[in-house]
Amino acid sequence: MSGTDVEVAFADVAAGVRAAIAAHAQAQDDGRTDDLVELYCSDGAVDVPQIGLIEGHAALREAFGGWGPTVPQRHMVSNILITAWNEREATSISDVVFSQKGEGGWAVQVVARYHDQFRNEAGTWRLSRRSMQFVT
Amino acid sequence: MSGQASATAGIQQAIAAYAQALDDGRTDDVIATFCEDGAAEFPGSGRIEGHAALRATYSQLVPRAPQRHVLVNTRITTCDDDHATAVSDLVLFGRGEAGWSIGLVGRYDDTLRCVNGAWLFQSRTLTFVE
Repeated sequence: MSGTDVEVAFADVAAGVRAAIAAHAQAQDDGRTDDLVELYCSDGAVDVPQIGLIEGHAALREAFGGWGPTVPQRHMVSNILITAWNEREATSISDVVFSQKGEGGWAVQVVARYHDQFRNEAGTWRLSRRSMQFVT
Repeated sequence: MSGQASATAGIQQAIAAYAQALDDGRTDDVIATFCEDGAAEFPGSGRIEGHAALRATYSQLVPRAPQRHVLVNTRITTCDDDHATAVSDLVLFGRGEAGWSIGLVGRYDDTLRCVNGAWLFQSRTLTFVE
C-alpha cells in the first residue's frame, strides 16, 4: 500500500466514524431507538458507569428505549480523535456535552468522554463498543 | 477520497488531539501538536514561539477544575499538499460549584503544516468573542 493509499484510507475511515457518531447523537436526541440500535454491530455493546455493560441489539433497544427524551435535548459531540484504525476496525475518543431544555432554558446536564470501537461491516462503520466516562 | 478530504481528516485530528490534551492537562501532548517552530497567541499574551516557550506557557494552563474545549465549525480555508489554514469556533465549558457553564467563546485561526504525514500547528491564534 502506498503512502497515498494510506492517507486515502484514513480519510475514509475518519468519515465513516464521524458519520456514525453524528447519526447516534441525532437518533438518540430524536428518540429514534431503532435507528440508533442499527448503528451498532449485532453484538455491539455500551458500557455505562454505574449501570454496566449492555450488550446486543435487544438489550440496547430496551435500554435506549427507556432513555428516550422527555424534553428537548442535544448530545453535542466534538473533538473526535481517531486513535487506531485499519480497513476493518477503528477506535476513537470524543467529548460530549449533553444539554436539556428545562423551564429555565437550556442547561448542561452531563459532560462525558466516549471511548468507541468500530467495525467496518460491508462499508458501513458500526459501533462494536461504546464506553462512557463521565467528567465529574 | 480527494487530497482535500485526507488533509481535512488530518487537520481534524490535530484540533481534537490539542483539545483533549489541554483539557486532560497533558502538556507534552499539547506541545506535540505543534511544529518545532510552531507558535501560539492568546488575547493579551503576545506570540509564544517554539516548543520550549510553548511548554512553559501551557504548563501554566493545566486545568484546576474539570473543563472542556468544545471545537466546532472547523472550516478549512486554504489547503495544499503540505500547508493549510483553518478556522474553528470554541466554546469552553467549565465545572464550578453550580455545575457546568460556559466560560468563554472564542475562535481559533490556525495555520498547519504536514510533517511526516501528520498535520501540526504552525500557528494557532485565539480570539475571544466579547
